[in-house]
Amino acid sequence: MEIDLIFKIAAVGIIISILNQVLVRSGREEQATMTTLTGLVVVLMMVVQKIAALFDMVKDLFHF
Amino acid sequence: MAEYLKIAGVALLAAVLAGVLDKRDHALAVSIGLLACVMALLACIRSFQPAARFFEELSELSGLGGGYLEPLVKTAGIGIVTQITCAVCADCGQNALAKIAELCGTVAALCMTLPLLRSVLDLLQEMVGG
Repeated sequence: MEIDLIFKIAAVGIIISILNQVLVRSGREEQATMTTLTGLVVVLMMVVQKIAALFDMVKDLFHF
Repeated sequence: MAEYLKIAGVALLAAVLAGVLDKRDHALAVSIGLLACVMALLACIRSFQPAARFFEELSELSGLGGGYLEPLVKTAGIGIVTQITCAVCADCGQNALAKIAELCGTVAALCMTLPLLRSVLDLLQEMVGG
């Protein structure tokens, strides 16, 4: 089981959160929003790959 | 047993990390939860494959055709996917989406069982002589 993927996403989340705080405090709210969205896209790309693998396995096991 | 302990460990770890991130970014917390669910389910399905092969052997020995057992197996698969989808939608606060996903899963399961229902109807018609 690839537990490191969970740690990667948690690390991305913490970094995004810190960057968000820094950018908001320095008055760059649009850039903070863009950073958050970028982080979310990166995380979703990681998650979508695993979801695709899960659906492939479900298709194989349940004969879809 | 070892695999189940890993799954339990990953679930606890993901729950704690999601709790930490939830206050800062709810979407990322939900993503961690979703990823942990997917990984746990992948590990669970891999562990279930020997049991699935055993059930296939049993069905061959019993003489029941694939047409009877396949709808049941597919319905179980639909149930699993529907449950996860509904739970993640509810975690994101989208209860309406969760209900719609549940409804769609129900409709899909009903469509899967149509061949069985048709077989029952044909059998009843034969018995009644209609």
